[in-house]
Amino acid sequence: MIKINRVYCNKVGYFSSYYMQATKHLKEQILLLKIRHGDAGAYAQVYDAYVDAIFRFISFRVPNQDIAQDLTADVFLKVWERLSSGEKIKVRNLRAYFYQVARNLITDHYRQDQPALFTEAEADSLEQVEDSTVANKLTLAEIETALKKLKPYQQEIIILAHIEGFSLKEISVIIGKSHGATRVDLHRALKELKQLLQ
Amino acid sequence: MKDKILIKELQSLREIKKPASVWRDKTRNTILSLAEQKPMIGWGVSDRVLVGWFDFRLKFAPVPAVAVVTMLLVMAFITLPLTPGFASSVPGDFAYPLKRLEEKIQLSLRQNSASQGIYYLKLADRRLSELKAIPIGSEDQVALLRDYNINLSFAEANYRAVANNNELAKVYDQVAKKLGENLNQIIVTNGSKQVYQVARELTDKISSDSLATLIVLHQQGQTSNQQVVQERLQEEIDKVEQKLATVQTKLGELSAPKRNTSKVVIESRRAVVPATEAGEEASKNLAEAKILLEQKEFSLALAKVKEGEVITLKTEEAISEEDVGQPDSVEGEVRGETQIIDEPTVAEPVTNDDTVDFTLPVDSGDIKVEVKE
Repeated sequence: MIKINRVYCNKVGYFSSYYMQATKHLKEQILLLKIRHGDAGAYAQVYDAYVDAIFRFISFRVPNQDIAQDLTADVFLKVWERLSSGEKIKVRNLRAYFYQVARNLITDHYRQDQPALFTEAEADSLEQVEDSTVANKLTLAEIETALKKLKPYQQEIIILAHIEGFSLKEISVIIGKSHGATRVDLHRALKELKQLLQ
Repeated sequence: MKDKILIKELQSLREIKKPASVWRDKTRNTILSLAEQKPMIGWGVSDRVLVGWFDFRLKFAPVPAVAVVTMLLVMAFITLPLTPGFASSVPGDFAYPLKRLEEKIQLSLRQNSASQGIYYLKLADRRLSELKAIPIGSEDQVALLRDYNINLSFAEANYRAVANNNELAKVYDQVAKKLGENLNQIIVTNGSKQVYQVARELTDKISSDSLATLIVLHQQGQTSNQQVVQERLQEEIDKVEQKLATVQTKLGELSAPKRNTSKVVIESRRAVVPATEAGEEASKNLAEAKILLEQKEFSLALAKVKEGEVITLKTEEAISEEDVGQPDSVEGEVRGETQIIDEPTVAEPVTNDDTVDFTLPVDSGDIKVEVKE
């Protein structure tokens, strides 16, 4: 009986998650169509939905908050300009598209300036912690330091997979690699992070 | 550190990297003010259709797939009976199992005994149509006759469950009459003889039960069925007379010793009499029935007709038993219009023009039947 219940729950879970994804995708497609027609109200909804995540993604990759804020604003402006330009830009996943643009802007940022030391950034980012315990702060600080010691590509892939919650398929779209290669890279990055933490 | 713990710790990093709310609102206003400066692009027809389609899908997204499949199945079962070939499918056809399933579903939708009973009669009529369509001697013949009998048994049970109802009795009477006529057109092999006999008995029983109800209700003054009852009784008398004439012809063809050895039990007289005398007794009963009919003594007339019919059938049976030993009887038995044969032959395609249309009642108080000739 327990086994049957588990199978049933798994199926229910699968269907509910499928419907949630399908609903989310449809809502996104409607918003995308509106944005393409220059609907600022629709873009406001998108901004509210993604601004925190994009900021977080960027702030893990840049040395301080100011740069993260500037780059985040740039991402939203750039996406708006592109989508509302009337050009036929193929966007299958709006969320992934924002990360693609953010990723390109980060790359451009590092091409222009040399990366600064991360130690200050760590301290800055930890200032944002509002409700964590001291012990937890130390653990998270250690993890963040170790994360920033990884190669930029490895950082990205871990952030996207385990902090932002993207699926391997979505990550492969953002970083422009095959599904298999993304899976191997993620496994290696996680292994390396573990070694750094030990 | 285990992978799971590490991933959990990484997930908690999500909470420490949040933009300041002041910056977030300020950036929002800046971006939106820039966005609003740009003129909006007009909506084309294709875009409107696309948004409409997405909206439609969004509304139906939470509907579980099971519900959609069920709805499609229900629609299929509604439209299937309308498709050509579905109603006329016979055992062995692709659509036949679906037809039977549809019948079961239709039956389960009927709540009261009256409508269920009429639907069973309709099913019995369908089985007869199928019997006409399949080759004689087919293995399905016995199965279809059994199904016919089962349907009639259920129809009878449902009829009994409803208290004397004039409209229902009329429906049963007319349908049973039509079923009896259709049953006579069926050609059966010796293997199906027994089942066929049961089918005839059940059909006759339903016919006489419904006629008896009509008579009782008329005599109780609840309905004005006089003309209907008179006509039906006359038909019954004619039917038995016709049968009796055939039996008497056969009786005349028998040699004198054999004619005397054939004995018939007459229960009303508690006597065993020769076949010739039994024939006369049946004839006498029918004559009395006619007189009683003229006197409008319908119940007694029906009783006399039934007695005459029973004696006629017993006489026919007695003659048949005598006839079995004769060398010229190898071709089988001919009874009424029904032919029972030893060897299966391929039947001519039968066109059933005299089909019965059943108008099913919503409840037992509203029963109508139309019979197309």
